[in-house]
Amino acid sequence: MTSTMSQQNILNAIQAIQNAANLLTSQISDATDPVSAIKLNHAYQQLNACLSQLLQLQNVRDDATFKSSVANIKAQTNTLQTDEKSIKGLISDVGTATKVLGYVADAVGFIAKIA
Amino acid sequence: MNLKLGIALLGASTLCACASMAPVTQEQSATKQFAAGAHAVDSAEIAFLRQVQNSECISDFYSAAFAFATADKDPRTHQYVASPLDLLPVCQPKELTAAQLQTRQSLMDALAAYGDAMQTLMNGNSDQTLDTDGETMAKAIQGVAKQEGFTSIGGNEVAGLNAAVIAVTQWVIDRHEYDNVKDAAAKVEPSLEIIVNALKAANTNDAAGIQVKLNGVKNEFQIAMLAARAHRGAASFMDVANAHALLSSLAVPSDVTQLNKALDALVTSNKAMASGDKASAVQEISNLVSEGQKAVAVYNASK
Repeated sequence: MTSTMSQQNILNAIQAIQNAANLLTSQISDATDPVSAIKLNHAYQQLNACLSQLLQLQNVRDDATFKSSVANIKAQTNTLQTDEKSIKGLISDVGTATKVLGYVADAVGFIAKIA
Repeated sequence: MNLKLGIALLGASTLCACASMAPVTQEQSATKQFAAGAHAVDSAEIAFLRQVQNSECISDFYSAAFAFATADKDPRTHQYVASPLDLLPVCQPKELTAAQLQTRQSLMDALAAYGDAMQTLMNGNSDQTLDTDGETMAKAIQGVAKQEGFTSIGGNEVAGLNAAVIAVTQWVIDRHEYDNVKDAAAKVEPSLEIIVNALKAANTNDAAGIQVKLNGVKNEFQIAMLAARAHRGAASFMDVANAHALLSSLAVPSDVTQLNKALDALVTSNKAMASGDKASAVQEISNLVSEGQKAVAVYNASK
């Protein structure tokens, strides 16, 4: 069963991922090269997958399932961070790249607090 | 207190703003409108939840299609790597499963049953079908709440949500003990607010999910347009036009402002009824009906 604090951390993580995803969408819209756009989209899909898991986690009622789902999401956050770092070179605007990575770091931080 | 006497006293003391209409009739009309408003919000919420499921299905299909279209060839075999594509997949949403949608529906039904119960209270329980149906539904929903079946809905309101549902449904079951709308609305007010806050929080999360999914589909189309231009030059204009038409047809409202506004209107109109200020209650109930109908239009209009 999710505690109020866990629910809040899930909500915050969802918000951070949404912010990062919105920035990536803008970058993909502005892209002129299909290959870089595909790489950006790969990063977007990672965020989408993480968001999907968080949304599913919100609906979990059983304690054991919740713990195991949280463990799965936490295990994937390292991959998420690595993937997002790899796109740094694909975003020409340093400020935007920093913001994306910042939102991802925020999301990972909130996910780490889900218990 | 005798029910009809209670209604008459309440009407005389709190409800007379229109000299040409009998006070009781006017209050009956108001509670009927309140019930209609609660049902409109119920319909809008369910229509929105169907859109939540729909967006996941759209996203899943186009993700598979994109993976298929961008699959690489194995350098050794020169064959495309496996990227399964089902052109007519059977969608089974995971973020909002059929069971979870049913749970959310039950929560909305609790609000609609409350609206109906207010109406039967003012009608002197003359509509036995509405009365019995509402009670049966309330008992079923209460059973779910007693097993903490609503725990997964919402954010900060989780702790009190099941208790709030039990309180509202218990009032529906026990409403014969009440003889006026003002006391009834006051009794239910805190629980109603908890339920509505939980629904609003859940709607906001679902909206985030819809937006990220649909933007993901848009990104895939965008990449396909870049590739189309690289290969077909000016002829890719037709690809762009087709992509635009297709994406427009997939549009799912991800903004829950109107839906949450309608939910707020439900709480506000109940508060107005609890205050005993008849003019304010009529105005807020009218607003509830209006916001509810707008929400139904928003979420039913989309594909």
